[in-house]
Amino acid sequence: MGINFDIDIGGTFTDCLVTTGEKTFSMKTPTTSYDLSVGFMKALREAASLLNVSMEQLAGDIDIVRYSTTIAMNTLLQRTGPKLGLITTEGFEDLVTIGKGSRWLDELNTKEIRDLARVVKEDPPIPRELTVGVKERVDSTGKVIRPLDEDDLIEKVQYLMDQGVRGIAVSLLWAYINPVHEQKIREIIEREYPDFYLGAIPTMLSSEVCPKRWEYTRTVTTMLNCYLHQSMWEQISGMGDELRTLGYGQPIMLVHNSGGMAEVFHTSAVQTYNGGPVAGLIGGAYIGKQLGYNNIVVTDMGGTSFDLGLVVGGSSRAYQWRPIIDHWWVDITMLETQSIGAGGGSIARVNKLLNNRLEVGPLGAGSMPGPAAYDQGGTEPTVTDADLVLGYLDPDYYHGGRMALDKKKAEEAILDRIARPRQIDVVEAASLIKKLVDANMGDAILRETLLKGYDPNEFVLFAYGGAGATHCCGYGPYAGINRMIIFPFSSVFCAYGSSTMDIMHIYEQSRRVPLLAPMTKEVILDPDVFNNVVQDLQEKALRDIRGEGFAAKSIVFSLELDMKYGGQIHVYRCQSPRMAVNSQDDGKAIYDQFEHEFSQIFSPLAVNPQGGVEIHNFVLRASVPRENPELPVYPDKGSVPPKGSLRGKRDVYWEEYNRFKSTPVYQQDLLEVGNVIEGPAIVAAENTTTVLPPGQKISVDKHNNIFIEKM
Amino acid sequence: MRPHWKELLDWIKPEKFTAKDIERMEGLQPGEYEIHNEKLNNFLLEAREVFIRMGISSMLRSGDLAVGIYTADGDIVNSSTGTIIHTMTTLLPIKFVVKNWLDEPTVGIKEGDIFYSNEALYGGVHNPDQMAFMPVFNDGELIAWVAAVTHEPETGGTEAGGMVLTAKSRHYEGMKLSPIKIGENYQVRADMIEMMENFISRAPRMQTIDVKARCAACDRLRLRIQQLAQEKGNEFMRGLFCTTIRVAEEGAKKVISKWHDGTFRGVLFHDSVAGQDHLQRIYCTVRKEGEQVTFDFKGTSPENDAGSSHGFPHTLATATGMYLFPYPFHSLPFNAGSFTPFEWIVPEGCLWNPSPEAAVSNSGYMTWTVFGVLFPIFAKIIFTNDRKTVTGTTAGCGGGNIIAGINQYGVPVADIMAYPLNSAGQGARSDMDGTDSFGFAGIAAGSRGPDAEDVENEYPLLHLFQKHIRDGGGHGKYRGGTGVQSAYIVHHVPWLAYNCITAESKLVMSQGVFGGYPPSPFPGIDVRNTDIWEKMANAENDIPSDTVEMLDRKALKGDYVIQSEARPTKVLMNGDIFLASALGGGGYGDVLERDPLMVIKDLQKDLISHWAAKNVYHIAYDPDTLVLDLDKTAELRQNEREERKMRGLKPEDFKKEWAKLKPPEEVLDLYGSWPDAEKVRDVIRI
Repeated sequence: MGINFDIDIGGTFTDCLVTTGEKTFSMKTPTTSYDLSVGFMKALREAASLLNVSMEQLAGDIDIVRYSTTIAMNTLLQRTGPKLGLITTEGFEDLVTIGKGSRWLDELNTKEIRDLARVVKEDPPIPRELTVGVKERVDSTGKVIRPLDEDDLIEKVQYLMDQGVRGIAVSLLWAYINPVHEQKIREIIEREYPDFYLGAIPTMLSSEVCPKRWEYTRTVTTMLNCYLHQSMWEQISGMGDELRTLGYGQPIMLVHNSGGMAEVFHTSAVQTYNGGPVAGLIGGAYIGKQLGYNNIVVTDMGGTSFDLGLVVGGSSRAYQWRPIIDHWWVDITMLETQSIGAGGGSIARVNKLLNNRLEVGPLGAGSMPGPAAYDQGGTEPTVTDADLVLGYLDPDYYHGGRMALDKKKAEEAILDRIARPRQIDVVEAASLIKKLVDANMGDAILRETLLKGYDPNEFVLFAYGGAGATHCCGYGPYAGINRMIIFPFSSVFCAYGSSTMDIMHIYEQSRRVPLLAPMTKEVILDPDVFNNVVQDLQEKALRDIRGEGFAAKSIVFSLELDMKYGGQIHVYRCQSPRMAVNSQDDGKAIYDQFEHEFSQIFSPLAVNPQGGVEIHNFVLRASVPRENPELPVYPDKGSVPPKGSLRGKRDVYWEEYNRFKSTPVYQQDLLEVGNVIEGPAIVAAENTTTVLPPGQKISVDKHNNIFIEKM
Repeated sequence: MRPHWKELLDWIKPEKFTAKDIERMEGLQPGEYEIHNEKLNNFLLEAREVFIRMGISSMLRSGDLAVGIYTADGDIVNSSTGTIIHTMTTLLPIKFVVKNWLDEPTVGIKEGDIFYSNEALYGGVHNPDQMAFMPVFNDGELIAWVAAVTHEPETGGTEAGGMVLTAKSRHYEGMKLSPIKIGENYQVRADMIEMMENFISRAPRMQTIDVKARCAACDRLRLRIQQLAQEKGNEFMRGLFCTTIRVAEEGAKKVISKWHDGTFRGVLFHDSVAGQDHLQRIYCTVRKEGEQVTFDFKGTSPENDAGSSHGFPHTLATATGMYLFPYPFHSLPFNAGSFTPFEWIVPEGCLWNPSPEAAVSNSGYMTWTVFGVLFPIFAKIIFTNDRKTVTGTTAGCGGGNIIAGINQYGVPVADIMAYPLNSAGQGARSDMDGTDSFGFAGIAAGSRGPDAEDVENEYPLLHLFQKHIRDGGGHGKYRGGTGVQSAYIVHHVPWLAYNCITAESKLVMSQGVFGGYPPSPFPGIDVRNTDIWEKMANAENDIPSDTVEMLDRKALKGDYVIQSEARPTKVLMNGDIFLASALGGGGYGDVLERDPLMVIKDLQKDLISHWAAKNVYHIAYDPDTLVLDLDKTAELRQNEREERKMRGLKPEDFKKEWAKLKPPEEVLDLYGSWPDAEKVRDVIRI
């Protein structure tokens, strides 16, 4: 039996999807932030129990483990990474703190950016006092014009060691063209502090982590990679060890923010940042294609955050032009998604400075202590507490009844922290919390669609994550979207997304290669230079992917080129119509493709071939297509839900009535194709609850998906 | 036909709403303004990104640009973030075109036309600021204008770099295009590009690419407006535009009505004209009554015939917006409606209202004198009702360091060094320090300098160092953000022409507030005939890595020239070094109230010197371990307070002492009469 095991570790819950070929099972366990492998193994244990096999038997039968994680995000948000040092070229010690001037642009939204009196720059993960400059210099041609002063280096490394650093990032000027000094620095550090000493520490070089032009983003990428690497490695290797002990013999594949995935040994820590939301986006695009939707807002409301991405014209492949990780502009290929701090665990509090204004998020209670209703010591009211007080959640059927909720604790928390200070009753306070968190998420959708020039009305909304179904009828219509879809596996959608992803690696190399001559516009592309770069990248890909156990013939290559007109600074990434260049015509074909895409994206007015055209960066995509799951089709059973699907009625608060009303509660997995339910209603599933307000109706489509629209 | 300065000043304010406009505004359904105004903001963001990604000059790439949407009459409706003075002043050439060319059969305004201008006499700041603007038609009706504007660091003037320091009249300053049609049918005319390249022969490629970048940004904005108009109709668009202007006007009045009524004064001195030491005064009186505010610049020094440090009244008026929009008006739309409550008095013959023949190419820097003087004035006006917006002055303008010559690839280039320019320190706030290397003070919403690798790849330069200036920010209870120092070595080529434009050298324009200190100045420094290459090749370990170390130790052989930061054009040879800087922001409050731990943190980050920790902040600590002695610090600070009392004078005694002071005569020749800065001689221009 070939089993696929897809797992997505979120801030609050660990989602898991097990596909056996014919059947798919999903499960959700609390994330164990102190040691993610505990939650992982718990999910594996539940899967074994569902399949009625032993852990060892399951581990031996698993074909592939695909894994997306928030370790990187959590490490940055909580600043729990190790104490590190940064070595750079002398005279440039402030390059990260200066951050090209207004580094705060990478941290703030437009409204905040306009309020200049309040802007601040976040302190970097490697503070200024742990940054040293070494005496060396390479120029723009790659020529060493000041040899590395080794005595000076040893003295500065000793200073960093004395400060207790646990790793060193090295980023020197022009190292991506000539890495000789960076390599020498690592060699000296390893010589002075060999790995059999307790004080041995890892050293990461910018020329290896990010061999690309421009020192600011290269340095930041290297710094973050170094900062995230250790916690990432510790968590994943621990998990791998346990799996292998049980008999799992395949590699663990990690979901990358580029939309692909690779084996853990071929993954940089920065590539895993935001892997879960990207997996959800890819899954959204895949499923959208099967359902016939081209424009989709893919939303994931979990316990900690609300993530969204756009599928436009059927494609999710919009790369971030300025990819930001936490507050930091990095130079990696990363799919565009957005995230705000809004989830079931988002904490509600009153801001006494602002006349007791209610605020929800971005701080969350996480899974420990979690919402007050978890009764794990949490005293601050959360969105989940509000949902419980309003009757949306069933205290006895949370996570299929495996986790009891204490409604009294939820009421007490809301009364104590919100209702009393604002002099309102508990229900009104809970309703306000829900409205506010829905508006926060709706605004995020508006920004994401309008900013890109799209009308939200033209989109359908996919709602997933544990709380997506509970809140989508609030945030969707707020943003002007009135068609929403919830899937049977909505609560573990990111894990589903990773099951639709191909094995894919991206390899990049900066190299300036002239394509058209200035003035004459003649093709001057040197085929040897072009082909050698591509071949080098292909060899790296072959080595890595073969190492992951896939045959060379299964690899599909595609090439993108970062190109620009002569004299321009910013590059545009276009799809290369050729993998190799053998003639002038090939060069012309590449230019024609560039001009075509460039004119469409910017304007024909900006086309300027007389200035010459240059290639600056090669991006090779190497993928191994996987067989993707098809959505099952079920027969139509008519509009009336089967009797057994009605679990009963309970009192639910509806803003439209301004009171509690006895409301039917349906069991989602007992609904059948063609069933129609008019709001108000509640549809309960094991790991999520759909809240259907008055004026909206549900239709169950042929795949058992829940489709919501206005009546 | 050329508009009079009073006409330009009037044009800044929006046209009065007609009955039809009011009807259109009332036709908007609830929520339509909010949703579609947000759409306009998003169009602007998109066009701004297109602009940045298409352009080439350093200032453009840094974000010293803006794109704007205007009504069919030319009133600005909304602007992207960025250098909003660009979009504010561009409404003037648009209004000129509407007034003069709409019905002129030899010109006319048609769909697909592209207009261009860079002549400050018709609007704009100075001729390096080049603007492209396009009419937007829908169903044959002119419904709007769009514009894209940025600074071009070359104009073909008598000195490279566009801001001709030594220009004595407009005839020194190179290309100056009155509003002119450069494209039709959505295409830029090749003969117009050729004409510009001919003017800008020091950097023709940069000129062409940046013209196309402006046009591409305009075209993207044009397309989006047209698409929205096709969906919603022309009447809706006009209603939306008018509503946006009305909302800004009402919002501005609401904000202003919370300020205290009264008269508030401020003064600034700028200290160099044509690269020589000359003192000039900028004097501003702000009178606020109800919802009305008047900026009165009587008392400002007269115009002169020595250099280009002038500007026109419309530039001054819009420069007041450079303070207002990012600070007290930060939540209002950037548009003409916000200017309705303001009046500007700019006496004819002062340096802010010179003869049309005057050289004004340095007026970009002169705008710093306008918004620079407003920070301390507004600190007093808004202190009690908007204290979080109070800051020390953020006007560390940094030098405009310009290089020109043939680069390492044989291409003629001329450009401004944008890193130091875009990393000035921010003034300290009422509750926290100013941001270090905050950005370009003249840009509402941040700017980015290029990477050193970017500069070294494009230009024949190698950076010796580029880092924060120690003690660069104004000291105070909260410290002004510090600026940045850069040292460039001429590399790859035998020579490079260089000059530097600024409005401050010895007297900084950034001031502290409520007891905070001003930031430190940074002189012009060149080191000629150095042995830098030899020392690098020999891996010598005493090559300096900051300015103070360079001057203190003089480890490099060579001729050290320390002069005014403003430097007329000179030729630097391979291996010569020039230094550039962006200054810090003003401090806030008394240095003796600064948390001693914050002083220690500044020491750890190398942002202040031990000298300042001991002599300015009066803290006691171990200089090796940086362990603080709080008791001793309290004692030192109490002693300093007692010393202050000893040094203090009674107000009448202080006034007597102060009145005796006078700068040396040799720097007062362009000042006007002392101390009132009245005109003392006529300026004859030929």
